[in-house]
Amino acid sequence: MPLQQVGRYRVVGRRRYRGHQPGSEFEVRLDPRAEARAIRRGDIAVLERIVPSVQPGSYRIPKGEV
Amino acid sequence: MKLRFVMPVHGRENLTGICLRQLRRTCDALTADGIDAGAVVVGDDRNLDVAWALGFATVRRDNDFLARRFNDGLQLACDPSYGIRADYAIPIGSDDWVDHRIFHRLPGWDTVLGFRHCSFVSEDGTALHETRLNYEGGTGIRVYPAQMLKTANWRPADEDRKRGCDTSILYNTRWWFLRAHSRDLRVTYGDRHPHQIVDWKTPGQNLNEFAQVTGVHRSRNAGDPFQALTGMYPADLLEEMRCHYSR
Repeated sequence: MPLQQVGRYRVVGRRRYRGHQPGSEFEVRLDPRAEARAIRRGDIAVLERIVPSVQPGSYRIPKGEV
Repeated sequence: MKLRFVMPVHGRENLTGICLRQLRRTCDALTADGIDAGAVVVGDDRNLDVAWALGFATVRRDNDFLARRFNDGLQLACDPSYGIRADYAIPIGSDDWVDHRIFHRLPGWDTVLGFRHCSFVSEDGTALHETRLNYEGGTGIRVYPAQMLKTANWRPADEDRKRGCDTSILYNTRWWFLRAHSRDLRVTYGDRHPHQIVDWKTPGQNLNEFAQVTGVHRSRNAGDPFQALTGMYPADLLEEMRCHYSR
């Protein structure tokens, strides 16, 4: 996985994972080995790989700042 | 030099409004001293309107993960593709005041500037404790060179954190820096006086409560905060804050 990417995961097990409740989704860069273990245990599922960023249309910059 | 504070905001509109106005004064004082200073405020409520009216950049993001808000602010401030191109970014809380003079000497590209001395105001507004934090980096208000944050793609904190964001930012920045440069970053301290940073606690709404912080670290009770801070911060904002606590 390229370094800029993080995983988007869903907690699919019965226990919380990294403090996230079952059924919830979260984004984080996991160590590949930790990710593999968590998937093997059935704790999480990978939804997609993303590059997190400030979302288009979500920000405003005052005139003169750019 | 261009410097941007990064402030996530959520609720507490009266307190946050006072702190945003004080931040405006801080930025104006720095600009008058030759440092182009401003802020990126990240939130999803009316606090963003206040921030925009004060001339700050804003990012709209939900409050699910505090760290993601910090990352948004740091990226907007420093990532050249967004345009602001700050040379330094400083995470700050929405209940913090800072003395602009502690930012006069900015760190080198490989150094994080931290501050160990911080004053905390109790949740009832009756006591100010001058505290010395004994962990690396001091308070979460740390000056990060943009060049350093670039190694973390300008998003150093774990995206899914709801607390511990300050530590996550420093820890991960260190990890990325070590990876990029095969050596550790440096941390230096720019403390000037006990009231250089003031953290105004609110009942039931702080990640770290007053008793918890002042009980763990070396701390001195300096009495009434509004007397202790007279002459250091603007009288009108101190009066606003006094009224806020007396409500």
